[in-house]
Amino acid sequence: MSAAASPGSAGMDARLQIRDLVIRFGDHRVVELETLDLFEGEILGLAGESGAGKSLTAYAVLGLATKLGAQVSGSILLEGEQLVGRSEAWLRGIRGRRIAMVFQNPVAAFNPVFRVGDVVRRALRLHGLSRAASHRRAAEAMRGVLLDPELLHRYPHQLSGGQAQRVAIALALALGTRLLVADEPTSSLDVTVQAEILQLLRQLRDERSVSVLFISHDLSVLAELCDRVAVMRGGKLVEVGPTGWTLSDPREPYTRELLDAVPTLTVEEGAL
Amino acid sequence: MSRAHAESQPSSSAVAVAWWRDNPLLAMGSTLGLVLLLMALGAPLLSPAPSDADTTVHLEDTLQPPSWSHPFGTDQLGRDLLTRVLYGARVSLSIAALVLTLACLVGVPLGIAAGYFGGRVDDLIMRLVDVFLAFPPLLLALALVAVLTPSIASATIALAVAWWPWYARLARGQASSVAGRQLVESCRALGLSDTRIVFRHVLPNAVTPIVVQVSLDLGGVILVSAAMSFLGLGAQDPVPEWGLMVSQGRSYFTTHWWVVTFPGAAILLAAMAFNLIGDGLREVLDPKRMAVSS
Amino acid sequence: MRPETASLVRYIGRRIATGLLVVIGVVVLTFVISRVIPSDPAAAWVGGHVPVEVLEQARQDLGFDRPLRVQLWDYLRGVAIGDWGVSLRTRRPVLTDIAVGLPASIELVGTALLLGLIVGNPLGLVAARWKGGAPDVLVRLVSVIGVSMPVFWLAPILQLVFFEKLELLPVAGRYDPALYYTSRLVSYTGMTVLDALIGLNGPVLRSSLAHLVMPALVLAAYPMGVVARMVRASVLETLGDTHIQMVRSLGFSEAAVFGRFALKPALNPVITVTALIFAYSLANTFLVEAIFNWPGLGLYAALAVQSLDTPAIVGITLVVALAYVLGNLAVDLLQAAIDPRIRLQ
Repeated sequence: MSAAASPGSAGMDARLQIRDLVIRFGDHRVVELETLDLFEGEILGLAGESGAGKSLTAYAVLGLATKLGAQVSGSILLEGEQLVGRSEAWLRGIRGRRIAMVFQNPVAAFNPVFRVGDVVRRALRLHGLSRAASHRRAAEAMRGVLLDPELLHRYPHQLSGGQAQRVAIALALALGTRLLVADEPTSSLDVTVQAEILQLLRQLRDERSVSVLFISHDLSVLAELCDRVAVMRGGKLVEVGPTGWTLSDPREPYTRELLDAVPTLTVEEGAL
Repeated sequence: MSRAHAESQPSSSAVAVAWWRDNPLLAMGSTLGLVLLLMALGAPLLSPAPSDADTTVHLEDTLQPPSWSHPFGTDQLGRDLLTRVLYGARVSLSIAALVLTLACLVGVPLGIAAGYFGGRVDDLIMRLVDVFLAFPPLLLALALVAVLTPSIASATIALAVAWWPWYARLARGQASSVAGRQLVESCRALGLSDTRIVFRHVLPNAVTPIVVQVSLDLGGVILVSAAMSFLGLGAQDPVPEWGLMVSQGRSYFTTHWWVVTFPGAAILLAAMAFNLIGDGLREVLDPKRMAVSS
Repeated sequence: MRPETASLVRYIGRRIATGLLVVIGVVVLTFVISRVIPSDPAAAWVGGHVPVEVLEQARQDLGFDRPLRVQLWDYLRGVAIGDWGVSLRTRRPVLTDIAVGLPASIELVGTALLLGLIVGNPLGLVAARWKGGAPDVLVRLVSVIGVSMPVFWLAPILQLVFFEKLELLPVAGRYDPALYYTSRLVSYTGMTVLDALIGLNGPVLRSSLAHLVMPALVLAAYPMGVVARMVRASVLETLGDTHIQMVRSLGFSEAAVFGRFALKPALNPVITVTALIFAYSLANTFLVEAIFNWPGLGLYAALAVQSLDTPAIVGITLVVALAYVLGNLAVDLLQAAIDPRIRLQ
């Protein structure tokens, strides 16, 4: 617990500290992370090819990796509190309220046979709001992400991908989340919508000091959005550093390989 | 690979134990199925009185309770019930195998034609399938046998008529999913004939789901054919058919429990064997696919 | 009209049109079975044991000597206007007999279906929740036993146990015939339990419920097995969906995840099979009604089959197939009600 008291670096408090995290399926070690910190009001990019263990790390942060049949050891500290090995009931109290997740396919992330507002309000009530308050808070949250509260009456398939992702983010904020785990949240969206969502995340970081663990295989998006970028390969951390360093002057050959695999990167940077 | 093999050389019994643990239901089904097959093949050797499966009667020995000489007792004509139950496996298995062979022979080519060619061929065949599927198999088979003459042969044909649409539907789904793929388009571009494409690319894809469906349906056909014999529209005495034996034993059942219990239990176990195998295979091969039929 | 309503109306219209097409096909198929396949359809229609001249007369009266195309047209028209022929056994119009037997069958099959759904749903859910564990194996075994059960064997065994040995339940029939005289039942719906409820007839209600238990249990074995199997498979498939991860990540309990968020979208395939199960149960009820002497369509059909009463058999076949088509239609509408993706395409 002493680790929580000592700030990581640059005088900022670490919101999430990962130490010696090992995620296994049986004898197969899928993720081995020695040290990874996410500070307050920071957007940390987690890069790497599919299968590098990015998503599994995200699920481990939410305490959901065990549900997928994995064994988790090591330590994950959320604002100084240990998450690994906590009871399911305790973790349920944390999920949504202190860590929230947004998903790759936002439309599929909402239950197809419930109106989105139904899920939103149920979640709010689950974390202690009254029925009336949940209605009010849901509407407020929608306006907070520049959406018409009327959209809450719709079914997910009646929303666009961008709208659905905004609703998901709005829900996380309404629950008071200050740590957002975003698993490829824009890769299924088209470019303009993607830019809007990225802008929204920046705004949350700047105005509410929300921390975001932003998982993506898309280096151009990472370059545009993140304060720092961590690169994973085969379950291990290859390189961590400020976005400018990591992506423009990679020290590790693997990062260079990844960059070379993205021919559009230089073009898009030029356009920015 | 070879190193891993050398490290752990599991004994065959250990493999069997692991297999039972991982797939208890499939293992149970396979065992039952094997027993059933042994019963059918070994009936002449295992039976206490093989001729009792035929026209022999022993009027001095009627309705004897189970004993050492008659482990399952005797029926209302004094015939050894164990013998008749063992021979019954032959009857039920051959009816079921024949029905499903016929159903596949008709249904699979039609389904593949519908899925592969699409368009009007597809519409025509699938509407026909819809019409046949509106009848529960037992009912359609009953209606057909009623206008033919009740016998094992008519029952078999009638059941095949009732069952083919399921295979047409299944094969169509498989064929249409393959037919749209680029592979087939390029095969065509290369000048391969449709027959060749179907045999090389469409049929092999359809085999797995058809095998699963056949194993499930073996159970279904055994049940329905027994039901037809029970209603007097299938096998006729002295054929040792389980459903017929239950039907004949019913009048004596309250005082002679064995006459109905054993042949009926044989039907249940035989149907279970194939349902367990089919279920287990589906789980092992593709847990996501869901078949709707019995 | 709101666009949502318009698309729903279009959807229903399309379903009814395809249903109608199948109905026509079904009628044509029964025509083939009764008029084309038999070597002497007239004999099948009036019975085999009649003098030659009567047969010849019937052939002309029924128009069986005319070309098949004309016959088919007459047949279609006859079915449409309710002329389904005369039963050889009861000598009454087939449609009248069916109208008498139908409520009894619906009462029995409906009860069995309800039982199957009530038991099968939670079983399937439990199996999915503990997939691979002991509850799962047990549920799957029970469901396989359900779908593999020969009803004509289970029925006499239950009769032996609950009537002969334990003397707990009546052996057969719909209610105690002694009550005909002491507590007369007024018929409103033809379904005894319902009629007794409407008429506040306590003795008949008790008796008819007791008579319903065994046949309904026997008939429920198959639906229970299929429903448990389907719910399990369907819930397991849904569990892989992102929206399940989403509600988990929001802190919902596993009970809520399974019981609410996984179950509701998983119900659709289950409803699809319900129509199929309904039709299968109608066929199974032939055996059950014959054994429990339940005066419904099944008993009528079993007797018709035994006396080779072709018009009755064809009539029953037609009714069951029509019930299946209608059931399917009902299922489609129910699915549209549950799943907005269907209704709001």
